[in-house]
Amino acid sequence: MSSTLPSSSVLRFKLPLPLWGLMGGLGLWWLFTTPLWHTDPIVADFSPERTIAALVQLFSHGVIFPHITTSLRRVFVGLFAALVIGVPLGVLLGLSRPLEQATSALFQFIRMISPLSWMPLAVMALGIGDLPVYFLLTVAAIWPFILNTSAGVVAVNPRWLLLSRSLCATRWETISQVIIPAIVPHLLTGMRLAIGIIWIVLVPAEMLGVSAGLGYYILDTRDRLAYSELMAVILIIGLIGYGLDSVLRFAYQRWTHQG
Amino acid sequence: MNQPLTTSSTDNPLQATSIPLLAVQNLQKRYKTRQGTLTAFDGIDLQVQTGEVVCLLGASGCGKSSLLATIAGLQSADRGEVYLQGRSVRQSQPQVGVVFQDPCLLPWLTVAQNIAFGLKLKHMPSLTRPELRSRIAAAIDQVGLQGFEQSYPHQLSGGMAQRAALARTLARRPQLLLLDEPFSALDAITRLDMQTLLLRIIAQQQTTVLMVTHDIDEALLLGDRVVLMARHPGRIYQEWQITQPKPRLAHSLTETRCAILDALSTVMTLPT
Repeated sequence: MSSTLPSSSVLRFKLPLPLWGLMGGLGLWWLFTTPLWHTDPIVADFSPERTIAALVQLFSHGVIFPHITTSLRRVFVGLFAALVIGVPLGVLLGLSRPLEQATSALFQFIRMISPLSWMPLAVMALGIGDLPVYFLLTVAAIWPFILNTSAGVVAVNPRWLLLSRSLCATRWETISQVIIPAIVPHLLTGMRLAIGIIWIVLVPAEMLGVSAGLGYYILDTRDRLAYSELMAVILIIGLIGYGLDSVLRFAYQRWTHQG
Repeated sequence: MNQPLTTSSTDNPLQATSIPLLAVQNLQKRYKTRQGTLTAFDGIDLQVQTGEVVCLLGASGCGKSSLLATIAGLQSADRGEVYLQGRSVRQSQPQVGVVFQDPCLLPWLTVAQNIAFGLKLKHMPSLTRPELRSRIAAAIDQVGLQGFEQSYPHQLSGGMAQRAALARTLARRPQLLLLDEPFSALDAITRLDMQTLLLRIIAQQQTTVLMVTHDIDEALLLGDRVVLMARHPGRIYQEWQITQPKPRLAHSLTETRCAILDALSTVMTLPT
């Protein structure tokens, strides 16, 4: 007589692998901070329980929204400026070997300087407010654009360039209709790296002379000793960063017709 | 080195008097390599009349693809001239269409967009939207790719991709079609299919074709004239006029085939 009960393998809840890692991280976080056995009230403030309560509060009161939009605005302005300057420069470097060689040492030198080192200079030159933040973010994000674009141009399939010549395309037509579309995957990779860097530089950049933004809000929660809110903001920063990266990863897959 | 140059006596007297569509005079190309200069081909004289299909036949390394690229204006010659309708040309020309061994489709464009790409360039006469659409549709019809207009190159088989490449070139209505081993990367059955297709297009449009191939049967099937090249350096060794009407059956040209094979084996053993 066979059993009519579903086998245990059907009943077992299947978790996707990435979720296992997230669960593990959450477990560790909880283990080290939970008020269940941590008596220090400051440590307990950092626990997932209180963080999630603070998170719900931040969203339900809407306190966090202006900071999120301010930060995102800065990200997009910085990203846009870096794109507008970095991509044409990268195309130029990719097309001209002498120019690439002439500038490579200079660019490698500047690239290795942490964008945050420019902070005092930026404030001196651009004053207090959004401008120095835009500047820092642009400086941080421009390198992935320049380097990936020029690498992309160099890697364009020579057969496509030959085709373009056989069709009597002008130089501009070759750049705009063959080279630019051909480097889009490189460009999207550059943008992913740029967003990663911008998102990292944003928080410290916003800790100076601005009165809104997620970086500003972190300092604000620290000053108010609102540690569970601080953790909530950290979670938000991570979530938004992950979301931005996912969007670009999706765009990359769509463009290259993978997956 | 003197080589026998035999031509059959069936030359059309009309063709001999008119200006050839393509004339190549004493063309030479050299490449600089680490070992010194390498002469890809030298002293090439070749004429192609309007409506003629000429097959350049030769073993690999005889400089036939290099010659085609030079005629197409994709690389400069070191000596000699290429004339198109009596006019000396040194760059690629809009009235010349080139099809390469690999289809060279731009992967981010659909089949229709790939065809449109070649039509919308500045050097082409500008077309209105309906004209553009009808040109694309006609080209797609010609190569039998109906239903695949919106497909991307990665969704096409090798033969279909080469059809799309052919359509891109045909849509530009070239006076001269330069084909660089266009079917050699395809499997035997698809190749036969494509040869039949090309034969039909040539018959329909009275296209002038200069085609590079290493396949004797392909040359016999398609060519009005078969030109055999010798190598080191690449030069024209012998040519045959094929007068038999198309479509041809391969076995009906056994004699010419044997003659070409004979010549080819002689060419391969020539001292360089």
